[in-house]
Amino acid sequence: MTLTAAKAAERVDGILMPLHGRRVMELGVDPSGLFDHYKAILDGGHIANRRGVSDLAHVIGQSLPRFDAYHVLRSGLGELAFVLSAMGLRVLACEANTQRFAAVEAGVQALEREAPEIAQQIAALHEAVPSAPPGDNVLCIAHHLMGFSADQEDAVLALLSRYDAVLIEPRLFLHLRPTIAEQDEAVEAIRRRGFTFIREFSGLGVVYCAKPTVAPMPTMTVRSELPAVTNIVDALTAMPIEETGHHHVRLGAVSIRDYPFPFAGALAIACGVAWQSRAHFQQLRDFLCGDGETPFGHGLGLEVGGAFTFSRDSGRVACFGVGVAAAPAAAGSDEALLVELGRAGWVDTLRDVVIDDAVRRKLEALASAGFEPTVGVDVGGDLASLRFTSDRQLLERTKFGEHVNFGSEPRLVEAIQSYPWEQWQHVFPASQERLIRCFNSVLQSDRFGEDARPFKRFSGSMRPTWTNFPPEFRTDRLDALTNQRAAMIVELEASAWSLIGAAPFYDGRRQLELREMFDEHAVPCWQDIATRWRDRKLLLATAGRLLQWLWLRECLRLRTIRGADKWVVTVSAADERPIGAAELHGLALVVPEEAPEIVVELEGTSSPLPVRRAPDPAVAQHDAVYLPWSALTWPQR
Amino acid sequence: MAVPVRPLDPFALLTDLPVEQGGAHQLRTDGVSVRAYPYPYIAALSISNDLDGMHQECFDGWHAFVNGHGPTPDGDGLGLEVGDSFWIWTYPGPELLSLHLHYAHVEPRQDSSRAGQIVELGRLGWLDTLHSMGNWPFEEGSDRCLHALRDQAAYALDRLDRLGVKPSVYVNHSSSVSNVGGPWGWYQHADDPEHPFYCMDLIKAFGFKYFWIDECVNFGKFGDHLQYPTQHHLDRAIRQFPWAAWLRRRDYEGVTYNAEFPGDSDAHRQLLTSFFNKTLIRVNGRDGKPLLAFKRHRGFDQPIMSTFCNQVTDADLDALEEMRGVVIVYQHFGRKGPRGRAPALSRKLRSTVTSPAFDEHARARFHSIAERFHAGRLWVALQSRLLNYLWLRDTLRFGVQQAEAKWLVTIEEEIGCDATAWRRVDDGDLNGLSFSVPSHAPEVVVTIAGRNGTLPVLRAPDPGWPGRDAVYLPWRQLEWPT
Repeated sequence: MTLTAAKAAERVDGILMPLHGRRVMELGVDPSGLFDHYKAILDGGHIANRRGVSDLAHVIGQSLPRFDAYHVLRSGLGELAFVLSAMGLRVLACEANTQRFAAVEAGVQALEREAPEIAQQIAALHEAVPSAPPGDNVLCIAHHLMGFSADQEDAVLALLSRYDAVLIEPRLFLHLRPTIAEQDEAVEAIRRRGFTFIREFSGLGVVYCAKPTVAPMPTMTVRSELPAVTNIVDALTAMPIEETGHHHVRLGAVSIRDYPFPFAGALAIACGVAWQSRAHFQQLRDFLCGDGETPFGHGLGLEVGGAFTFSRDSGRVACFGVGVAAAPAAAGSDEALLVELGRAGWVDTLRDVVIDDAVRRKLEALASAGFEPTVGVDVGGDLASLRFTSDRQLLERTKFGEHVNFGSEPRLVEAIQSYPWEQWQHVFPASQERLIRCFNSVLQSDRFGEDARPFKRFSGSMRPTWTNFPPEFRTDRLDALTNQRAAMIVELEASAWSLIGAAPFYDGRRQLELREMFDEHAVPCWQDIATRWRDRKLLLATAGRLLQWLWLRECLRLRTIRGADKWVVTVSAADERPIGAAELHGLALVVPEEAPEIVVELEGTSSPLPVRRAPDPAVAQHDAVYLPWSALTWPQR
Repeated sequence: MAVPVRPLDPFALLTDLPVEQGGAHQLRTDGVSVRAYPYPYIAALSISNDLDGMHQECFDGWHAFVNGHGPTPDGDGLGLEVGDSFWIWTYPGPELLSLHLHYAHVEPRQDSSRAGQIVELGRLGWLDTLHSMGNWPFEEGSDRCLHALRDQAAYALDRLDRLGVKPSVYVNHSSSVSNVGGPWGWYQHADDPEHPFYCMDLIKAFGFKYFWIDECVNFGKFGDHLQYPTQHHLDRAIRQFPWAAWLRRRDYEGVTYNAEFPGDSDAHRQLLTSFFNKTLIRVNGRDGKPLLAFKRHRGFDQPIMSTFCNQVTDADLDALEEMRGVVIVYQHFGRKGPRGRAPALSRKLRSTVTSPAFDEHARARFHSIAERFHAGRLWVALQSRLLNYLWLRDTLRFGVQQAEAKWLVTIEEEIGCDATAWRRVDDGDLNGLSFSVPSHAPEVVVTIAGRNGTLPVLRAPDPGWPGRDAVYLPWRQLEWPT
């Protein structure tokens, strides 16, 4: 009897969990082949029934053509191979590491004892990639094929080229590829070897590459097992509407405003670094952020921040791809510019990098020059200065805007029911609070510690390239953003061109040419956004500053003492940590219009904050009491 | 003063709508059915291009690229069957594809320089769509048309008849008095018996069979007759469907009312299912007589050349194939302008397409469509031919005699429904006609009642419906004149 992926993973876990628990006890963590990586997974309670294994097995079993055999390379403890076997597929588990291979063999032996019907489907091989020809109609699952030196890679690719189809994770193919340009190169390397049919399974980060002779993709399949949506809907709709993600202003009382006064919605552009050159960076911001004349019209004065990464070789063109071993910044160098813009707040995001010793040393050098990034995107490893982090699992593809105020319970229920919950399968089962954050919040608080709060980015239904930006950011969507008092952080590879609406890896993604940047589509789009900014409806801020605001409105606590002629509002942090006045930039409160004088104090200080007061355009019969929001000023060159 | 009408409640009426009644074409498990599309295609697409703003250079260029085979400024021709539309009258000005370049009330009537092309391509079948009868002058400061009379329609239809141009698809055009309103009618008067322009009887008698009415658009949902894989997917799509526009109508003053749809709850359930997931919708005209309306896919942007790439994406086409659906894409290839902007912003920045006809994004999508067509997955056909096949698969009547050695399928010689005339099955109906039978069925023979001999059908395993065979007449596409 064959099993579904989920059932197969449960069955395999039932065998592997006690087995490897015993082996670790008897042999130790490293000699058992688990090492720290699998020891942590073991401690998490599931080896096979977890993100990246059971859902990948489901895709292989249901969404790809049927193959005669499956070779799982670098198979770890063999968990994916075993799950596929339990689904009735013939599998070869390959592993080059001696201790790991022993763990695979131990798993096979356990299966022979406890589930012979699974064991008969599997074989194990102590090699990274089989040296013998694979035979006909075999799928090579190379989604974690890493650990090769540069001069070995061609040989590995030659071995892979003997297969009919290959499944890879571009980020982890042959070597770590943090940037999208490097990931595209991985797919291109496979394509050049005859695998011309390419399909991305974006939620899993894997790409299926097949030769033309392979059977076509099956149709009419359910691409993923849907979570129990009814249960989610029941759980969420039982909650009061004001607790379902949108910021709740208490009428008749003192509350923190949704956004700095007088804005009704907020937007931050999280720019990527793929193909970003200094010229791209500068031209983009001279028009978007500047205030002077440009070839594309008068600068729009928008606060569109930037990101940087580190380059490991000198040939890379990524702007601010600061060489990790570079000498201290020379005047006019990329690094000097990075420090200048970083100190001014225009560059706040570190992206696409794994923090190793060399990177850490360089970051320390930047810090001593006065610049520390506060936002991390796809950063591997810990960095104390990062207050907000995001990764590929936190990309929102459909819902436009977070903290959306749906206005009525039926609309909220409709939105919950219509939401593609599939994308959050990896967090199920989850608490109500977690589900709400998945559904309608930028900040995802319960995943990391207090110091680095994870956040969602909107990437859209197409790849977030420069050419896809205008059609994704339609006028009606921008209207909805402010009408529904929503906020969003938008992923944008601003130096990447791609064919609009084309499938990934068929979209011709490349570096945007400077002359293509502000064409007849981009200019009206950004002008549309700028109009909303100038009308003081839509707040545009760097990712770090918007995230800081969203964090602020969640974590601040207000205590109001109401006197006849004066209300004194004391502001403190929920976690009782001290708050600096600078952190309260743009702080805005909503108070009833009949309230007398409002004095706002920061707890532990005696002098009141220099707040202003004005009727609130968003809340009838209420005033806003606020510290003005100041946009960054672009240093015109 | 309009009498208040009770609104239809789609959520109540479609509660528990089973997947097999959700609008997808259903095959009889153990019997013979008309196949969803001509063999071997598993999904279908047509382009419905409104000619507005399309100059000759653009018209010639885009058709040479999309329909032809030779080199063009957009690249080598793709060999697709994609037609176009024309007018009878329009305002004096650019030489658009209109029989006359003046208004209907202007005498003497003079043929435009494009009349010859209309006759040539119309006779060949490429111009299968009248984009309403065209433009009339407006009353100053108003959206009411002037000088519109039934005699003008009678002249137009008689003229087309005499020229041998027989379009069967009638598509409304922005604010034209000659538009069809159906249950949503207000400014449209072709089917309004109280207006001096009323001519719906003439239009139908001429042979127009399929009518596109302003409300019949999909914005987010790509395609119809989609086979939802689970009840959950169907329920979710019903919830997401923008019902309001289908259930309301307005008047000249902008006041909105519930539209009136006669019938009982069963009829309403069927009607709502059609709104939601069928291309053809049987509704009543303003004259109370039934007509076949059809849907076009608009997308969220106004459909012009520049937005085609996000109106029709590869992901949309993948899903269309996977869900065995059909889509008619609403376009204005003669215009280009910014993507993503609201009409008020976009219209000011629009311009006329010249040559090459497409930008690289639109070209890439046509290449993708052509690849799917040539691979035998996506049927690309004139909208008249596609609509006729969809109509046929629901209305063709046939009997099956199942014997051990042979199944005999006998097609009744007349075909029709209450919204169309009845007529004999003709060669156009037979082009590509495909049946679906279980793979275990013995020899299948197809005949037409009252005719001698059997149809020269072929048989092959069906790539779209495993376990079934297709018994079919090959589909022959039109050849674009070089």
